Amino acid sequence: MQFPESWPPECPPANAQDAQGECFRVVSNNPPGADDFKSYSELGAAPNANPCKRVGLSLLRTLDDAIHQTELFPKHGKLICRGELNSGHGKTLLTKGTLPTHTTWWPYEGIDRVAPFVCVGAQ
Amino acid sequence: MNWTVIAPQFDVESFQGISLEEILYEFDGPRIFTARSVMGELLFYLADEQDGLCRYIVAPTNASIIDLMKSGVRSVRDALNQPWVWFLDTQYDGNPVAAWKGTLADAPVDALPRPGVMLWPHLEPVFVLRAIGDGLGEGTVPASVIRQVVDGATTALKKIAGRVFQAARAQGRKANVIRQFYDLPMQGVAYNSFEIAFRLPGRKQLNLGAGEAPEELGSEFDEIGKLLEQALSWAIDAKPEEDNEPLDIDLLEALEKLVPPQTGIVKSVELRGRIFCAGHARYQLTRDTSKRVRRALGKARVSQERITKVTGLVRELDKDDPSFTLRETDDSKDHVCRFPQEFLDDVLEVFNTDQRVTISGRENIKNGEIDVSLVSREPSATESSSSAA
Repeated sequence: MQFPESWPPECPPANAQDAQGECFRVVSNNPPGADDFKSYSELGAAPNANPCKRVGLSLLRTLDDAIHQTELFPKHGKLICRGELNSGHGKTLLTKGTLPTHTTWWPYEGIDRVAPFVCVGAQ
Repeated sequence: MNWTVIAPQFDVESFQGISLEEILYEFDGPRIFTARSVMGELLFYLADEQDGLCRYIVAPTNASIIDLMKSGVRSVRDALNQPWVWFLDTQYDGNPVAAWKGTLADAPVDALPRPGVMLWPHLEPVFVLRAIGDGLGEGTVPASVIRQVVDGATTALKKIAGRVFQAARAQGRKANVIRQFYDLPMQGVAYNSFEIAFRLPGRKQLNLGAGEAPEELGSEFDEIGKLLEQALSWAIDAKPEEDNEPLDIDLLEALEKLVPPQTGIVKSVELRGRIFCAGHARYQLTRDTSKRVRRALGKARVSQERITKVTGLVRELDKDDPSFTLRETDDSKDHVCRFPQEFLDDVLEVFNTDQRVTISGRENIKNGEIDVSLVSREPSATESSSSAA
């Protein structure tokens, strides 16, 4: 399994680890689809942002953080998906910034990104 | 976008060349951030994203507003709620394509952060009490409602903390350590009808017992939250009363302080906060809940408490956990008496002068403890003789 060749060099960064464990993402479609798991790079958004972060996807590590996000950004989706990632799904890194559990996920090329996730409820 | 901004259009060129200052919330990309422009310092909130467009609500701001938001004193919605705001559509590449100038009221409710929601999850208040009623808003909240909310929160938490720390108190745990579980610092006030948010004491404010870590206080606070949640679920559950397990009297007394009164401006009370395991649950107590709680409390009191009046001497006083032991009583028993803070001066005086005191209140039949509602001093010999003269 590999990452897309179009990604910047040294991306994911060397300190990223095999994907592992429970994570959450708020989505707007029910059931969630591929559009809910597109990176900013795939959407063509924020071209000036950090190029390696742009090709990754943001995840949260706690349900509380995901619920908080639905309350902070109601238009961005009310459905919370819980995923259980493993090394076959790519690499992750805790990129906490202002959110202590914010994690960036760099999925391997061609994997079904939706498959590891199940919806745990709508807010 | 599936919502139209009904506000006058604004010159979109004003948003060209904006320089991003600080990212406050980032998920996939920056969602809340500050930026500098010819119009001054601005707060950007990404309200919606659709069909290759991002719609931001942009509010004028300053360092003080941002600091209040970052410290959890001001919610994101309140920080955005300025005399005017702009709605700005940009393409995904950040190029501005349309702008309008209006107020926050021009946005649909679901395009805004929910009222009271803080910038980051850890800033969410630990306990929020909201009094709901017609006409409760900024400038129109009677002092009695403010008192009701503050007393409700403090007394209810104190009742439950008392139960959680029953054993700890017997083992000599300091009362001022226990006090911080109910006498919480206020985080903020919102006019939503009227709500007060409380936070846990900061590290510097914490009173820790010897060898105690702040994390241990967290687990004890969780315990208080669990019991409160149990009491609220009991009160809200619509099961017929005969099918419902009776609730412990301490929990009923905590509920008694939280439920809305049968008359007056407050019609219901909402509770939320990180104290609850279901972190984002909202519990609503109505006047029907009040009836239910009062009926259950009446029943419990008949079997577990009696109204009492005892005279004796205050020999042992705890100022941190307002309570004293009444000895040399006219019923020949010692009584631990808990009293409201406002009686402290009276109690201190009789304690310091060895005057006999008569107290009235509710006595727990099982252990003889008295919840004091009235303290009256017996006149001293000098007072009696001067009044006779």
